[in-house]
Amino acid sequence: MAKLRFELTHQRGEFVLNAAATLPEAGVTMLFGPSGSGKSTLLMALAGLLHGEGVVAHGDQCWQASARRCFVPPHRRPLSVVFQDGRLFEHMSVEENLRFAWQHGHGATPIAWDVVVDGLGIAPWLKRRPQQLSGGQRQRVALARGLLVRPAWLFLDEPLSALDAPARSEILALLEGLKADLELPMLWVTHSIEEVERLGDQVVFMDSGQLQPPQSLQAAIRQPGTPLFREEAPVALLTGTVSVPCDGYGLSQLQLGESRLFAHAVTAPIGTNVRLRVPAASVTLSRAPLEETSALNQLPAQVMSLGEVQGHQQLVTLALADGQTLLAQVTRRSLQMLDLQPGEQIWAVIKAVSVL
Amino acid sequence: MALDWTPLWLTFKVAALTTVILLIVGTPLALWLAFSRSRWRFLFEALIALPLVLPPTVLGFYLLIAMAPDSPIGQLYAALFPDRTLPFSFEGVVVASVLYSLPFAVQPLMHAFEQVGEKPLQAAAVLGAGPWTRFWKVLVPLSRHGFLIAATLAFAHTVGEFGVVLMVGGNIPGVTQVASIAIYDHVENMEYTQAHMLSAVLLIFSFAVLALVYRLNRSWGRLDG
Repeated sequence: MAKLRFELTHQRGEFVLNAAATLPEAGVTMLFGPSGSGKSTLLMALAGLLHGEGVVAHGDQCWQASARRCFVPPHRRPLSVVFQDGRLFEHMSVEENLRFAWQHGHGATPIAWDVVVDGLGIAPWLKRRPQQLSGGQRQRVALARGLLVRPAWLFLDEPLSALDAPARSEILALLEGLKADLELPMLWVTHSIEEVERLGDQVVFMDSGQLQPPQSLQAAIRQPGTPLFREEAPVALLTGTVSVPCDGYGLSQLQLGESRLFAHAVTAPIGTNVRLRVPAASVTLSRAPLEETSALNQLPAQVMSLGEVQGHQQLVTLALADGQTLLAQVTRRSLQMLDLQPGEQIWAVIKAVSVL
Repeated sequence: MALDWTPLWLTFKVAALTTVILLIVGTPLALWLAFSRSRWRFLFEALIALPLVLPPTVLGFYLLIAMAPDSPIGQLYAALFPDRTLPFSFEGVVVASVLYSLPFAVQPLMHAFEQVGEKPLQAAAVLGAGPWTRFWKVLVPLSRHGFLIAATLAFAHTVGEFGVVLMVGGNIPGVTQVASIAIYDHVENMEYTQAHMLSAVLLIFSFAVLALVYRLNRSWGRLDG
């Protein structure tokens, strides 16, 4: 795996792309921005399907360097693209589509055929033709085909935006299950906040052909002025592993490091990594563990910093035992009574929360 | 009175050879026309469509001039094949037929390639498939009806030519006397029975070919749409 570094410009009529960044070699990088901001154009230029001007380097490997007249054609770049419209080969069966990718693919990353085909639930349709599949099924095949190239980078160009909500959330759930098994960096173009929050590890904001530097998802949702930030209701995103999908009380149990967290029941199977959205307003703080409380969750945490006073509220940033960040919104009065200082240990008390 | 098979067999040989050459030559031309973003594309389209509107005698006349033994092409041909000349020969008739039927092969291919479009080819490229694989495994199967229609029309149109062959090939039985010219010859000599028989064969053949093309057009159209 290697970093992807680029400095690209491209002009098309009024629109000017002028983008430079270095993308980390692990996890899902979300390229997020409004439609018309040039996300897909950038993706096509990185894939070599569109001739921009500038430099694209994969580790120490040159993909493009206009000054040195280096331009590696798309089929020689160890990448794969999943398009919004799937672009399955209509003259081939599902299996032939997948075999095409398997046979001509780069094999840059070890990915097993069965992991992909079973993980995306495609096995029952292998003999079918693309024309016999629904939109959601087609897109699952397109994702599988992209993965079976076993690329060094997987690019996804709004892979779910043409689908209806049930099909979209079904695929998101499948990808959550698959993500842990794949050590494959992905660049995912989207304008869906849900996709960013459920699958993103890094976020790159794009607007009018310009990029902001990549930042972690946690940092991105706390950055004011972005579509991911909700000033009136700050939230933290936590990642947990499902240990019990649904107990007798309609609750799931998630493992966050050593700690256990109760959330509303999930459909994801045991072992899946899921994301939780915890609004700062639903977190209260206590110096000692509470007894006889209705709140289901009490997690030990360390106070990292105290935010600015906003009205009579103050935002407290906490670090959980496994290093994840949690936010708590507390009144100024409570803070004075608790007399919190950064570095102190505290208990974060949370009601049952919902999995994204 | 038995049917004279010589002109029919000659016609078949000319048409079959022309069709094969046209598929080989026409495919890259159609590829370029379908996917080129050159601003001069329209000029090439017009040039290739010329035989559709030009009187065959005009094309035949220029070809005769171009093939003459003292012309550059004639001299090149003489250098390659010392004992032969292009005018009034089987090879000359084939060369003329290729040019005359060019639009009938190139246009269906170009339309088929345009209909397939760049998207499946891009998809194949980012799955790691090189140009050769993209052509044989993606473009050809997806535009197979275009190849079938191009081949059928090129063959049928070559069978139906008259003026160009007469100008370039003349009327040499067994060498350049194709069926259409044989019919003309029979009528000139008041041999109506022979003219009837040859004409009936061509009429039935042409109708069958056109029926096949329209049938294919319909069923492929439904399959793809």
